[in-house]
Amino acid sequence: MSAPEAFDLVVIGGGPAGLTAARDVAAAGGRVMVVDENHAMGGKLRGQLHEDPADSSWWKGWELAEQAEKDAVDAGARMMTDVVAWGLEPGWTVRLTYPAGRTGGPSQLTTRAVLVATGAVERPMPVAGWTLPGAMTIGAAQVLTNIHRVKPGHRVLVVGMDVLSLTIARAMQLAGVDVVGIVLPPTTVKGSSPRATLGRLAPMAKLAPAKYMRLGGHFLGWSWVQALASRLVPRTLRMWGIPLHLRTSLVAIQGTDQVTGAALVNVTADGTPIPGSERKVAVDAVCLANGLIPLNELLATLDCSFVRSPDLGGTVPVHSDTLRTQLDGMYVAGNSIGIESAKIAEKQGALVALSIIDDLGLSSRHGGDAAGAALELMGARRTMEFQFDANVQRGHDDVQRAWEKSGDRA
Amino acid sequence: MNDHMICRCEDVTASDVRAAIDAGACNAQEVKMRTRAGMGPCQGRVCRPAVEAMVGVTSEGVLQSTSSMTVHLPVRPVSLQDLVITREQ
Repeated sequence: MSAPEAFDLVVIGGGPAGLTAARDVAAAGGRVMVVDENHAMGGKLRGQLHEDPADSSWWKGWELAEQAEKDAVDAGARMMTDVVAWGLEPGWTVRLTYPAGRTGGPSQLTTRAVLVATGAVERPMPVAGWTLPGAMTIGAAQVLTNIHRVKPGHRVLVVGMDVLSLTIARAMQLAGVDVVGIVLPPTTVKGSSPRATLGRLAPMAKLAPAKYMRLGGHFLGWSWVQALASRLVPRTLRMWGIPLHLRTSLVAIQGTDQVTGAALVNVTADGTPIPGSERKVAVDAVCLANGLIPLNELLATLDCSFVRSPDLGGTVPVHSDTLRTQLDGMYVAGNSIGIESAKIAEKQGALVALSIIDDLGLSSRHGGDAAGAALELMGARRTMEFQFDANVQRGHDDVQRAWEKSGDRA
Repeated sequence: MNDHMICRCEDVTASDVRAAIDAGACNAQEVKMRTRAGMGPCQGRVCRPAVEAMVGVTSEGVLQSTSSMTVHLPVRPVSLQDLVITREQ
C-alpha cells in the first residue's frame, strides 16, 4: 500500500457545518476530505422538511444537502461516505473504519487540520417497553419518513414536546400517518412537567410581532398563543389537527412482540400523576423525543477541556468564538458545540473556514475576517425564528469565558 | 415494578442501576464498573445520558472529560481488518 496521502483539512461529519467549511477551505486552495458515516452527505439536514416560519416557504433539507455537497465538490473538496472516524492522534492522524465493508478506502488520513463537525445524538428516554419493535426515537421517525419514505407506523403516539418533535409529527402527518397525539415524557424524566414544558416553548412568543403572528397563524395555532399568554396550562391544544395533551404523561409502552399501545396518566401542572386517570391508547408505534446531545466522543479522548452547559444541550469542548479548540489544528463547528438549527450550523461552517484558512496560510478569494464573522453569527442567532434552547447564546458566552480563562493559564 | 432496559448492549436494567446506586455508586463511571452498563459495542453512546440521569450529574465548570463514564479509543467498533492494515503501513 502506498504512503497515506496528506490533506490540509479532514472534516469529520458532512452536515451543513462540515460541508460549508469544506467548500470554503477548498475554494481557498486547501486539500480537503470530508468523511461521513452515513450513506449520503448532509447529516440531519437530509431529514428536514418543514414550512419555514420566516417566509412560509418549504424547507426541503435533502435539496439543501445535495446543493451543499455539490458546492463543496465543485470547490475541490473530496467526499467519503459510509466511513467512521474512530480515533484522532495529534499530528494529525484520523483513524477510519468501514462498518458496511471496506471498498478500498484508507484506514487512516493524515492532515494538517481536523474539523470535528460530528453533530448530535438523541437523548434516550428509557421507559417500560422502549426496546419493543415499533418504539423509536423521534429522529428515527424523521429518517424513516423523510429520507426512506416509510411510515413509522399507522397510528403513532409522539412523546415529548419540543421544536423537533412538533416538526416531525407534522412531517409524519403529511406522509399520511395517523398521529394520534403528543403527550409528555414519563414523570421521572427531568423537566417533563406541563409547566416546565410550556416554559421551554414560551420564548417562541417573544419574537418580533410580525414573526410572532406568522408563527401563531401557521406554526402553532392561535389557541396555543393564548395559552402561552395566560400562564394556565390547558389540557389539550391542537396543532395542524394533532392533539397536544399538555396534562398527560406516558407511563409505559405496551406490547409483547411489538408495540400495540401505550399507557398514559393525567398529571398536575407540576407533573404529579393523578390517581384514577390511567388509560390506554392503541397505537402501533411510539416516537420518543427527549432532546439532542452534542456528540464529542472523539475530542473526549484528547487532551482538551469541556464545559457542561444545559443551554447548549450537554458537554461541549472549550473553544474560541472563532471556533478554534485548545489543540493546534483542531477545530469545531455545528451541533457538537451546541444544539442549534441548520442555518446556524452553516454560518459556523463559514466562520471556522476563515480560521482554518488563516491558520494554514491558505489564500482566501473572499478575504474573510473571522472576528467579523463571529459577531455576525451572534447577530444571526438573535434573529432566528426559533431556538432549540432560548438561552443558547448564554451557553456560548459561558464557553467563551472558559476559553479566555484557559488562555490566561497557558 | 415497571423495570425497563437502560443499557441494551449489556442487558442492564433500571433496577440493576438503582441497586448499584443504593450500594454506593456515586457517578456514571461507578455504575458502569458495578453493572457493565456502557461496556458493550456502543460504548455508552446510548445509555450514558440515561445512567447519568439516574445517578445525577454534579460536576460543573470546566471539566477534563465529557462525562465521568470514560470514553476510550476506539470510540466506535472497528473491524480487525482496519487495524491490521494500519499496522502494515
